[in-house]
Amino acid sequence: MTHILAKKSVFGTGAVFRGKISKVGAVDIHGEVYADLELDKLVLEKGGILEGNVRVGLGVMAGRFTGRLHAHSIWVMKSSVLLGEIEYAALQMDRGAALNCRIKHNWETPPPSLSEAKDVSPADMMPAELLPQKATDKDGDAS
Amino acid sequence: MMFKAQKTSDISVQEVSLIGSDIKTEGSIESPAAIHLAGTHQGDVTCKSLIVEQTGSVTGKIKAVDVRVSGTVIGEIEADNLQITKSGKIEGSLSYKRIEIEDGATVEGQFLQKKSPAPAAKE
Repeated sequence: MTHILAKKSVFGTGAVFRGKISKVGAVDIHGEVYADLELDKLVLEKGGILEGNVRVGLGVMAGRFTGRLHAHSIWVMKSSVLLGEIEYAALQMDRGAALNCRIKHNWETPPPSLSEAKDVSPADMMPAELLPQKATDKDGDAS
Repeated sequence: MMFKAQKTSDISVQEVSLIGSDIKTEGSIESPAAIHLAGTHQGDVTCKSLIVEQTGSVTGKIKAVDVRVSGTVIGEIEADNLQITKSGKIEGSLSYKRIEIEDGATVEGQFLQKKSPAPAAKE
């Protein structure tokens, strides 16, 4: 008996899904999917079609997307066509990609490095030799 | 580069659809090729061949040339070749040309053999 119990799901070339998808980790789309998705990783392959509202951790887009995409990291490949609205934290786009959409950088959740930096003063970052000398010096020759 | 580079030309055409064990879908799936279903699907499935894995379940109507059920199906199955393995559970009506049921399978419902079964394929 074959076991394809992998967490990943694949909609093959020519496959058409219409409806709702939930409880999903990773999806590859070669065919057509008309659904809302919330998942960790999405790969919309070249030739694939996705329509709906999508919230994803990492999205690799090489096909045609229509709808609202909220992604933490998104890679828009040269064959992709994106229509609608995109919200992202990190974006990479290849030359040739077609975007006809509203794009918004999501500043709601700044990276940890930025939030930690708030507590660091410029003096903490300065080399010791450049810091101002103290006024009183025990071994100083004040006389 | 934010992501590891890949060649776009390496993108392969995959005809087989795989519905993973963690996924829950509601709606209709149509495919000209095979579907391996290990997750939960509520709705109709139309394809060339369907394998419902042990963890898979379908509630709805299945129409395919070849169907193998190792999981659970509640609804209607219309197939030329229907195989129900020992872990398979079916509740509903079955329409088929050829059927095979392994010892241990659970089947409850209406059976109907379609007339004029197709002759064995000749190369």
